[in-house]
Amino acid sequence: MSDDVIDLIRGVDPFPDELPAPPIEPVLHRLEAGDQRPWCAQLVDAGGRAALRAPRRRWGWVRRPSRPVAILLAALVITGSAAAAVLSLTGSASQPLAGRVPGAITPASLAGYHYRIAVTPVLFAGTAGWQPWIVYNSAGTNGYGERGTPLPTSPIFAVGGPTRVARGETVAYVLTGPQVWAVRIGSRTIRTISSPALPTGDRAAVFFIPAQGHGLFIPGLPGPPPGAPHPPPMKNAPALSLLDRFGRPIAIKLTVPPPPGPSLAGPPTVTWMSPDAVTPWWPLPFGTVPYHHPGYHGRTRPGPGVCELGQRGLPALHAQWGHTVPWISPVHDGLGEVFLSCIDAAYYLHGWPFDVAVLVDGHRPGRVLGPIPGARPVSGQPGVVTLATGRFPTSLFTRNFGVTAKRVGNAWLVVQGGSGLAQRVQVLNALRISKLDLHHLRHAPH
Amino acid sequence: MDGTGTLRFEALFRAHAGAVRTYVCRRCVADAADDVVADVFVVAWRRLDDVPDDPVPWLLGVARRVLANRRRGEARHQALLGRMSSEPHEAMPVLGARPDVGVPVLRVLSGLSERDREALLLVAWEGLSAAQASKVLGVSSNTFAARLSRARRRFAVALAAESGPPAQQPRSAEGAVLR
Repeated sequence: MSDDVIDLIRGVDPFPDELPAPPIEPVLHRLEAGDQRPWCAQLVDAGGRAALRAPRRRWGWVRRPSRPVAILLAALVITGSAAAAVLSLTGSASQPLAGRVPGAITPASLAGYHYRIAVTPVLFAGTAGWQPWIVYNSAGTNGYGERGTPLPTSPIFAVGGPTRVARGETVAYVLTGPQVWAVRIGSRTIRTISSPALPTGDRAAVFFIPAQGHGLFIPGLPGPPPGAPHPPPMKNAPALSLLDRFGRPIAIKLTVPPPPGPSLAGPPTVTWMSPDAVTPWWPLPFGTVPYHHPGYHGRTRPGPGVCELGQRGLPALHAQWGHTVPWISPVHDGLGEVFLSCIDAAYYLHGWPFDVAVLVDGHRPGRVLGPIPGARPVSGQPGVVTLATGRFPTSLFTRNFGVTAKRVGNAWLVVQGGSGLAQRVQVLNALRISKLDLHHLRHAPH
Repeated sequence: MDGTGTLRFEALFRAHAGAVRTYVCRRCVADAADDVVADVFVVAWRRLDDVPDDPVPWLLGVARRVLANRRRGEARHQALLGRMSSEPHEAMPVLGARPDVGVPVLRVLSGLSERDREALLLVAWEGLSAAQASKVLGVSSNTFAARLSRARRRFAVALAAESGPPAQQPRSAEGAVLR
């Protein structure tokens, strides 16, 4: 019996033969460079390491996962800059949203890498906002990036980018609302720019900063607990401030969004999950297990909502879970273009996951929507646009976050994920908006 | 590190990186595997003097910890992002699915505890002896033998239940978090 068990398990080994060794060069580069993973990944990994080692008292408040505010604060400190580093900024105009990292090309630096900063709309039903990305590409290297935070009510709705490398410079970005005309770091001022790759009206400051430094501090965040020491990077880092078109400072009021779940201000989100919903890899990447928690007794089909999705053809395409909202709550305090999701659903096609959503204008649902920032027409598919983000292989949860969409009336039908553009177009053409009722509007209290 | 160390490290890499890569690919999505392998050998370089004569269990033990660290970090990252973006469904694991191999054996494996599953997989997939597997897990040989025995028994029971009528199928509590 025992040997039978081992034989059975051996029989489902996804890699019955040993894989070839990977190239040694990335290891050597990493040894030379220190650590080239994205800054945020390093922060959270540091938290993970703290669970194994005795935490240093000085950083305990940052590392303890029970202090989400502290972690948020740490995540919003851009590593890789310093007071001295700021002085070496090369100009007052923002760098473009896509370009090349300057400097001498060495294994331990990002010099020579092409970077691209993009935003995609948030798809979760009942919410509005933008998801920023930064993707670096080089020959033989896949892109990687960091997700940020869409905060439409703040002058800054996304910030991030720097990657800790041993040498050279790295890219940092601050995405802001229309009223921000410049970003000041220490004594330097960087003028913001608008771009078709940003939501209409929004602006960006992109700049290079030396990879090794003390950081860049964004004020307006909750600080460490009373009595806790200020961490060195924040204490020594220059603060970032915003200026309006007249050069006057703008208050930064970064707010921590409420935890996921029903909101008093927004519409209640109704979750549903198909009985055959599966998680494709956890805890094994090639296995499937039911997604249903033993205690799940919720909806197994989409609930009634202002928006509904339908499917025609493509029987292999399965909806597995999603969210609907019974009414739409327009966004009063959003800056620039804001899309509002009225339904989202997760589909699977041949094992590939997709997020699908219907987006309407966030300020005035029913009004003609602006373009998907940075998206380009797809040849041979009239009315279909796409925005590629590349894949993010530094994450165990790696996936493709590319977006493909088409206009349906005054809404966008958006498909995100899958194996690539061709599959997203296939899914997009198999789906339709079967209901879009914009008469159910409720204005959230100010 | 002197030249001897460099040569030893390169030999270690060339001889065993494939085994480490296979171990990692069996436990995380392929895109991240080479990154994990690189992490493992960075540790190996820094602790080259600690690498034993039979390096595979030691390397797999490091790989196991690197994966655990990454999963913890990723979970925190996703939790952070979930709070920041109010977009909880994005935290779900995705990609790499191969529905063609979603057979009962894998389903039962997925439903076992991590401790039971790892004990079985180290023997069945990595082909390690009980003594080697115990080194990967950092436990004594006796402890591992007992753990493996329990894991075999639980696997057999769960597989029998999996083959039974649907109402009696065990439901996995792992990976069942939706929101």
